[in-house]
Amino acid sequence: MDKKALIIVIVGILILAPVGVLSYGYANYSSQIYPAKNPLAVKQVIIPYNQKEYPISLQSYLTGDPAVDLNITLRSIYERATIIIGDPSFKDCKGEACVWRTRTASELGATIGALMGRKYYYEALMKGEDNSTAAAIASKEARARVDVKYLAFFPKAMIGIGRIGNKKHLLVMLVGPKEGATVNRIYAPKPGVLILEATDEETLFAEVLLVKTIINSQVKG
Amino acid sequence: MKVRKIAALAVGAAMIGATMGYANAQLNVPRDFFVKDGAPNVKIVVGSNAAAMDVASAADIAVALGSLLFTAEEVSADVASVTVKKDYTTDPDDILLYSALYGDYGENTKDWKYSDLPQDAWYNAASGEYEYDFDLTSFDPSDGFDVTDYFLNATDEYEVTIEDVESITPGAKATAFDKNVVLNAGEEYKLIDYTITIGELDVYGYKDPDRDVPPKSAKVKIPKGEMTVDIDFTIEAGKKTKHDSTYGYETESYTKDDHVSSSYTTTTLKGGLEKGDSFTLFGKTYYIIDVNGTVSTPYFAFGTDHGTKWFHVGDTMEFNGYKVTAMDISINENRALVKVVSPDGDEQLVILDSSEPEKDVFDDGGIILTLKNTFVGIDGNLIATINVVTNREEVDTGSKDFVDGYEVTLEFNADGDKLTGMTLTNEEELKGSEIELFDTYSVEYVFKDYSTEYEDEDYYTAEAYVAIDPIHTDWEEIATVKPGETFDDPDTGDSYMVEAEGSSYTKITPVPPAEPITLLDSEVDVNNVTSNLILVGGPVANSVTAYLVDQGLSTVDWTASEGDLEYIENAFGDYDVLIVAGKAREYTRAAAEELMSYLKDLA
Repeated sequence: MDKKALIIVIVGILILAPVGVLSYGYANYSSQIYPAKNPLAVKQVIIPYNQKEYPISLQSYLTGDPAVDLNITLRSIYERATIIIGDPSFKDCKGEACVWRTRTASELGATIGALMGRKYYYEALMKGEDNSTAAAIASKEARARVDVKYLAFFPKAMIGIGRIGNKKHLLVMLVGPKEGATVNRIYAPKPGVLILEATDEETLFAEVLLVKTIINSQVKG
Repeated sequence: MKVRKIAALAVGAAMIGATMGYANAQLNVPRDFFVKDGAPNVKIVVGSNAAAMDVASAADIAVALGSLLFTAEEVSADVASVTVKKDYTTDPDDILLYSALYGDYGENTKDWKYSDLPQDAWYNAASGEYEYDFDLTSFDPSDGFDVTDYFLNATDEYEVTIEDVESITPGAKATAFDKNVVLNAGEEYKLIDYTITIGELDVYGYKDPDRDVPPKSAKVKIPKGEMTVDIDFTIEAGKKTKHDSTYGYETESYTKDDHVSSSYTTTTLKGGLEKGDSFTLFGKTYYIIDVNGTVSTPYFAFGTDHGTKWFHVGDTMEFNGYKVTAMDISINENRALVKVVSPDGDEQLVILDSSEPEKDVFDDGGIILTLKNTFVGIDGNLIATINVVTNREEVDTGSKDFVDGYEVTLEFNADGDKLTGMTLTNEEELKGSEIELFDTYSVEYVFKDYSTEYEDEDYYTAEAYVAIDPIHTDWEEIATVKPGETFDDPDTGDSYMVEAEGSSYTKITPVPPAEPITLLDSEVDVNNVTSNLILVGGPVANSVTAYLVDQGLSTVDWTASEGDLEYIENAFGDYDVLIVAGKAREYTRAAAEELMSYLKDLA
């Protein structure tokens, strides 16, 4: 093989290998999000909000207790967190669904922002910083470590190959009617992944409120 | 795009309509507007009448806001309790195949490579040493070799028990040891184990070896008929007597299980499943309506028992889509004429006779009626009591459609009225890089190599085994304690103390459903505002912004705005407002990004 051909082959491999990995990840995305197995336990709950009741199921795939799954998933210490707020079509959305998704994403953002900063707040206090300095450090760290993304090709591929949604990188994902939700449920299919799935936008919003309640977040009105 | 930052001072509602602010390129929104005492002090108000701001921008603002939410309560809280859980997962032994690790094989591994691995480091199950000269090259890689034949000691099969997988619900109460051990009717007991026996477990699908060293990767398979699951439905009661080690008095402890430990004296609590009992299997519940182990093809039948119903003449009742109407009742002949309409609309008139056995109305097990009695009620009306069962199905030994992929073998007691056990045998070959056994254990071939550099010398070695590992961790609560308190491990008796790290810990307090930090503009009562507000969107998108414009409190020309942050102090009594908006969506987004930047500096 002459030098030119070798360079073409090497360049080809360098280009095709990442494409192959991403394609694999994209194809593998569903298996990371939708467990093929039955949950270990299911708890039916009703969320009262705004004079309406929203029935949803809390499913456990990790410990057998959905509330424990949720707590260990959100309260573990992560290096990064990614919130998938929905289909890319929400980028320029209009109408009721859009408004609800904006609210849901905001509630979730505030919750994850607060959770991600706790470690740094604690560490700063332990180092002898005062409360406001510790809060400032935590805020800076949290904002630098939380990404808000749409469910586009690249995030899907990263989820598929496990780069997002693992013990170091938390993935919290909203799955509404536009993303193909079939049931109303909250579940952690594997460590570092939390899925909120609802067949309508209002229920998805109520699910975020429930998550906040369960983890006893400081994020409250 | 240049976002303007404007601060305005509202002087209360009395001055509505007047010009009362000043514009300033330097926005000065105090931190307290956003966060107070570590909790949000502001609501994000999203316009409900028009297109919302970019969802991600709203979420980003919320992340930034959320990241400010810290309180000392998080780290120096009141006394909290800690639940201690112990890992009770059963991890069965792996099947060892090969080890050239120094501790097993006894040779220094300096300068080894994969191709240098010794060929006689296979596991000898008889001696427990890694000295076996296994001839891997004599097997066709596409068929592989049976690890149960060559790597298990004494027996050619691998057995693992998964404890307390399935439940039974007795139809009648059962007791033992003077009622010290009880199974209550209608109560679910998760006591039934799976005993899994693998007769043949092949490692296959590896690269053709040229030496007798383990392949770097391989698949596993269990051929058809080589895996059985034994389920025992008899429940034993156990009693154990212990002497107090100090004083010598006797104490008794009791237990119940399908396999009670031999340290107990046992007696039969329930001799098997019978009519009226329920059991679970692979996520389904089966209600037993008949057990017959004395006929030529012994079986048990399951279905839905609706119990005995009282019918007056003319009454219609529905059971799983079947409509049953009592047409006529004869108390002299103890018979009833009944009309049954199936869910498909098929109609059947049947005569039920109390002296005859149950009647399978459509001869398909769909609905089975049994006349129990007829009599005249207190109101003078004729009444028939009829037992109703729907969706009856029979299962006998050899049945392959009861559990997908498995053939069933049933066991009965001597009288044939109790189902004492069941064996399921795999009807399909199980194979792959990893085999999952009932979502509980995974089986896979593992080749693990190790390399290191020590004092400028390279070392390499490897081991191989078939791993049978639990998929889930079985955590069981063993204590709830407060920091400073002790608890004992119930299995070892060892004592532990819980200490709060750094003399502080997170307070865990149940809270009612959390109040949202976002509101729709339609949810804001402008006459009764109860918090600071971030209004997302101009007067077209957000009705609260429109209100402030109408009142003259918002002085920005939003129709021409290329993105503004307008801060209005005391816009609603003591509460302030920050408007994040622009003349179009992209300008609102720019304003949102500016706010995020502001929040960043605020921290």
